[in-house]
Amino acid sequence: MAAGGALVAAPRVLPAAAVATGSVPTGSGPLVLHVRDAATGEVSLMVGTTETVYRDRDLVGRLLTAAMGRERR
Amino acid sequence: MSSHREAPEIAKDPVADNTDTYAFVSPDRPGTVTLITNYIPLEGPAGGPNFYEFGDDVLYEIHVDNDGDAEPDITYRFRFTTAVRNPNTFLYNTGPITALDSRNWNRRQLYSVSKVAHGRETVLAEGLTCPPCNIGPRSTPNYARLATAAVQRLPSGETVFAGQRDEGFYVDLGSIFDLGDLRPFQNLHLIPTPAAPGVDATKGLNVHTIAIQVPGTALTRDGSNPTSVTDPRSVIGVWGAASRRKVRIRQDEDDVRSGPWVQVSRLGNPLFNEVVVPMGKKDLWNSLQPKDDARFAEFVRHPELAKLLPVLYPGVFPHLAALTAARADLVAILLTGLPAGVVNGFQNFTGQTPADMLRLNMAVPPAPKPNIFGILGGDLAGFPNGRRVQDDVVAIELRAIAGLTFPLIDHTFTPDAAASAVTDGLTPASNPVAFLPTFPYLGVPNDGFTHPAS
Repeated sequence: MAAGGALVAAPRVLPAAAVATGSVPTGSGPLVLHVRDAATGEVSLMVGTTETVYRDRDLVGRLLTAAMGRERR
Repeated sequence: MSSHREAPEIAKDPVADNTDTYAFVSPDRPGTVTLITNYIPLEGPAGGPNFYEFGDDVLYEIHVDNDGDAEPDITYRFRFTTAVRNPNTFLYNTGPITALDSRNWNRRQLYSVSKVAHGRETVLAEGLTCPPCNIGPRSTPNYARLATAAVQRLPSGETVFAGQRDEGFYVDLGSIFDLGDLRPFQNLHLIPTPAAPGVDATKGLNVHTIAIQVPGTALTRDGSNPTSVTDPRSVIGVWGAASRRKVRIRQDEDDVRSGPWVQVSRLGNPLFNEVVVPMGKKDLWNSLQPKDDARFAEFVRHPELAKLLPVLYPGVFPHLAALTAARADLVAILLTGLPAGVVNGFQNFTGQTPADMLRLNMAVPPAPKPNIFGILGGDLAGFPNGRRVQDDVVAIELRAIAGLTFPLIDHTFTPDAAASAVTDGLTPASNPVAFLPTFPYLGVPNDGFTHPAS
């Protein structure tokens, strides 16, 4: 029985709609966003010890635009 | 080595490198089991001013499976915090450290212990003190007493210790990794040299130990007292692990650490990842759980080292060279435990799930005169029934891989004469630091003033 405490990095995978309704866990501490695949818009959101993976092409597009803007400055 | 620097990635992260794991019925308190995991390989005792310490950003764990599915049913977690008394000096200590609350001790570590069972984590103790490293006769004048004061009896029944110890694992690294030129058998090697005694490469070095002593009844699946060797409830699987947060962002002040804990090191049986798992899969192995070990079973059934020995020692292992069958004996020793009927009066079988765990039958009482060859030496209280600090796991595993244990599953096989003699030429006496008769059993660490000796 797996009632003990092995720590496996198994991220929650949510559809974009679920994220939009605010079901991503929140907590204290920094929020880290990792764009795992810019082509598909897949991002990983880390808050505390949780990780949630979902797709948001619009968000990734805005981030890429911002990143390119920084490069030009 | 047992698991010191055994994989490419963890070799670069010594603070999280799980070097040895031990599990045995406590010889002086036979109603309890002692679980030990060591970290930070090959500590030079003189390594100041920043002497060795646990990682504040590492989660250290000891896992126990008590129902044979190779998943943890009980986990003990250890988290460390470093406290600096005076950041304006470069010194670890500004005078003799004669007590754990000494104001002369500038950089100390505190830790918490928690237990995870039935999906719930319970803090057992917080603010426990590690002893300092053993600096030398002026800084740590009575180190043994100082370290004894760091042994803590918890209200929940466990006894714990976390801190520096002498490296008790003895091994002739120089010979093993020089193309397996085992002292004292160099004259028989493919590239021969005159025979000479083994050299203990870890003598004079230290390690950081996490040790916990637990009543046996707290480890069985139903709280029963493990008294029957044949009862499956008497057998537990044990492994250590270390994990880091998934993300670290470096910045001017405190770094940001976020995301889930990710396992970077684990260790059940000594030498499993070291000499059984091939280079390209060692990092992967460290990231997985024992329940995932079926993917490594092929390397146990047909171990590379069993093929190398007849090549490296021409004419010495002819029966091993002719042995092409899958090594079901090694699968039993390392991945499933020994079923009843294989060794008279013994079993530590946990089921068909292949998993690298130390398997301890807690109903086997401590041996009054332990044999360092464990079960191979007729001592059922030793490796591979768990692992005691003094067990010669290098020789035991070398002999098993050389074919000595294959007759357990095929009575028609005759091992080579060398299979019962092969060793790296060492015993616990190769290290002048003695093991302790009581918890935490590993010896007093070497001090930096006299080690290395001139």
